Amino acid sequence: MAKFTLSVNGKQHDVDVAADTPLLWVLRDSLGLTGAKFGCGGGYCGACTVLVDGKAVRSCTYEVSQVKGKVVTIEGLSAQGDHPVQKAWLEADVPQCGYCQAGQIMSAVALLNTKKHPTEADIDAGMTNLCRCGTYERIRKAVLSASKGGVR
Amino acid sequence: MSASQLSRRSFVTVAAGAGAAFVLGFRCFDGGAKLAPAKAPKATLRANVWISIDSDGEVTLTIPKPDMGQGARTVLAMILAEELGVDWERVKIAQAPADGTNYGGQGVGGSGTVRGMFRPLMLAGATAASMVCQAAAKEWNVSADACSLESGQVTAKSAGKAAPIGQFAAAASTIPVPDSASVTPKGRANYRLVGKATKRVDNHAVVTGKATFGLDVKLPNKKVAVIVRPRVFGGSIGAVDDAAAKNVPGFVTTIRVGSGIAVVGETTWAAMSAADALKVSYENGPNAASDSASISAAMKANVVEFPEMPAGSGKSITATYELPYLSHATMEPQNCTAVVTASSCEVWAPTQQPEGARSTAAQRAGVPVENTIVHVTLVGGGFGRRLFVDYVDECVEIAKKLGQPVQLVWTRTDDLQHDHYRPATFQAMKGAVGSDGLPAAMYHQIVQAGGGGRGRNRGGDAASGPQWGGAGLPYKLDTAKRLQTSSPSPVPTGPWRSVENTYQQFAVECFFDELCSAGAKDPVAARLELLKDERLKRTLKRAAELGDWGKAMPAGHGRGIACFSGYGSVITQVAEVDCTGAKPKVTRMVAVVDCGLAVNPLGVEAQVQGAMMDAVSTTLKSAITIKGGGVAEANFDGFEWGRMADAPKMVVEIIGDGDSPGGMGEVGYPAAGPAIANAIAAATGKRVRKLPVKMSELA
Repeated sequence: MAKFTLSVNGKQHDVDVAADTPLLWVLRDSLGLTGAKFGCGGGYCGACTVLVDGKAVRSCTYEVSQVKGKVVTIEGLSAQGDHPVQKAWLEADVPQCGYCQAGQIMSAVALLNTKKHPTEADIDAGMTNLCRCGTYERIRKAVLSASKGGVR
Repeated sequence: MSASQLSRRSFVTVAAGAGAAFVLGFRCFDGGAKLAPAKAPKATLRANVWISIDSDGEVTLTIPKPDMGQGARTVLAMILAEELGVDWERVKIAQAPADGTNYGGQGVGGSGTVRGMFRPLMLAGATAASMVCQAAAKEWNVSADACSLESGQVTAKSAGKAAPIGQFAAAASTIPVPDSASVTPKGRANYRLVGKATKRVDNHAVVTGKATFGLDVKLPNKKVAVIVRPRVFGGSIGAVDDAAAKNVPGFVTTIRVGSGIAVVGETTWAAMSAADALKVSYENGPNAASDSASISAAMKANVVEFPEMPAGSGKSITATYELPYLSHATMEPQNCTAVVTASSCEVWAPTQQPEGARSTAAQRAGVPVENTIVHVTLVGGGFGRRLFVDYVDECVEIAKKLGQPVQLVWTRTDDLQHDHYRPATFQAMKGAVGSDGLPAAMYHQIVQAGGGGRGRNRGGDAASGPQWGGAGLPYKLDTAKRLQTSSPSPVPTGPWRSVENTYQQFAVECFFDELCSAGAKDPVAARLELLKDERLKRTLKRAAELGDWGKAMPAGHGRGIACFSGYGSVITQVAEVDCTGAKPKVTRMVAVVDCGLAVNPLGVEAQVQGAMMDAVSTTLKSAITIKGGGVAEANFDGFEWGRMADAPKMVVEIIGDGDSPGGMGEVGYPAAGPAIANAIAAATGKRVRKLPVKMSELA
């Protein structure tokens, strides 16, 4: 076991975990932040996506020892669920089962951090998370709508 | 109110509810069952829902059915709120635990939730409204007919009276329950909520990360278990060396269970790491030599000679279609959380089958069903997978042996390699066109690999010869026959979104297209000539319009159409593909669905969009392959599924002018795949013979 200090959603957390523990399990099991989901454990599906210094990271394959920057999870994206991307998701009624959506939202935030007004091709390239329910049509709509709202 | 006050013919009971002034439980006796046309209840006592209204006017609607993404919690609540006459924004939604005695059939499958619950819930809401109005009428000294309940307000216009619903909550609970025959639901002309695009009740929780799926269940002192299993079907575990596993920080113990070795850790990562460190020797058993090639050969060996084509028919053609096993691959891997004591069992599970989960848990725990509680969490995808409760059984076994609260987590590899798969099929067709060039005969052989047959006809045996039966096609053909057989395979199978329609409709609609080609007929014109169902024809005409049927496309692009009728709904889909690259790309899909009454149009649209995406994935990308007696794919790198870049533009138009709702969970899938395959044929001049599509395998 080893001690790490993490900045998660604006707060410092000390955790004592095996050094190879993926960030996902630190968030879920050590910090009780279950918004980021376990989907594949291999970095393929993106259900575990969180932000590290504003960039999308697949936390299931991102070891806690690698984490240097500020981590933001879906729980820390906004206080009231009113981040422009969350609002766009609500407006477009995106979720079906909902399991992948936290990861999708975090990916969209990261995309909009680098491309304020993404084209549909940018969305195809930037939104690579798996949605088994097939909500892509509405995700696309929501990302475009959020970008028009000027998400930073 | 005591039970003796209830009329035998009534299907409503009233109970004094703790914490709520007025609690209604609806129990469908025979009279109620008749109101549910899709599935007649088997038992005599079936409660469908609880409505509770407290004196503050807070209305809680308890939803008996799990929500796996199909929107049950939203759409069922809409129906109740509509007839009760309360504000949608103000109702609270609760999830019922597994309790077949009080809530009736809680399983979700067969696109039956809205079809089965619509009328009972309408009556349930109307009955509650009637009792509230009667209570108000008594207090105001007016006739009950003079009172109405809307937006949570009871009014008696003639008397100039109005008051919120909560004011009558206590008094209403003393009103005798009206006989179901005396209650009239308002009917669609008066709907305010039903038929209105309504967003999901769980959206806010989902987009803030607060929604509780099975894996999100938190319990004090909870351990986590992962099971090390033999990959090979029918395999078993021999010697186990846990020396290295014991050195993993957070390791708790190993427990031998029916399906393998449960490795228990303090945390998920500890359990996963220890499972990786466990050294296990496997006995592969009798299936180790089985692979996709041998399974395919066994299917092909089952194909028999076709009968002679009917006298007088014109050109005849044959075709074959081979479809692979598919995993459900729900986004949330299988999981369960359980606490077992000597006398009780408590379970949290994402399940499509709450009652099955409960009886399985009780049996495994060795405690009475009454002492077994199953909490139904949000379900991260179902598609038929979670009609099985194998993971509940495993978790309870571990919890019992461990004697502590435990959460069982299936890895993605467990999930992909130990599913109950959509069966692989080999389908052989022979058909003929008539003198008019229209399709006239279709013989359809379906060979399913393992898992037993499911369908209208069985294959017969050597002595009786092949037993051809009716094919149940929506077309007026002179001859339409189907022969269904199964060939040996060790792979366990189960229902997968639209079950047998996933494969048989693919062959039927692709082959119909081939017959049109053989007779030089336009696929839309031929279908309009031959379709029996006017509802289906209407969707076909409209889909052809919306889908630009007949409009020229660039070289290498194509457009295909297919239709399907089932689950009380009908649909036609038009697909457009671009075959100019290395792989086909579906660029646009148009669907026109007639689901009778669309209770929640946003939900209907979502189901069609999702099912079309399933079809894009399974037509172009996804397959489970068998190697060395087990599944080869271990994660989403091998079992591919459609992503944003694969998602076509989608247009979904809903025809919803009927009085009762059809099923929507599955109808969007069966025709979408053949529409894509027909579009590929239009683009390339070559037919799809095998899924998933490879350009090199087109013929």
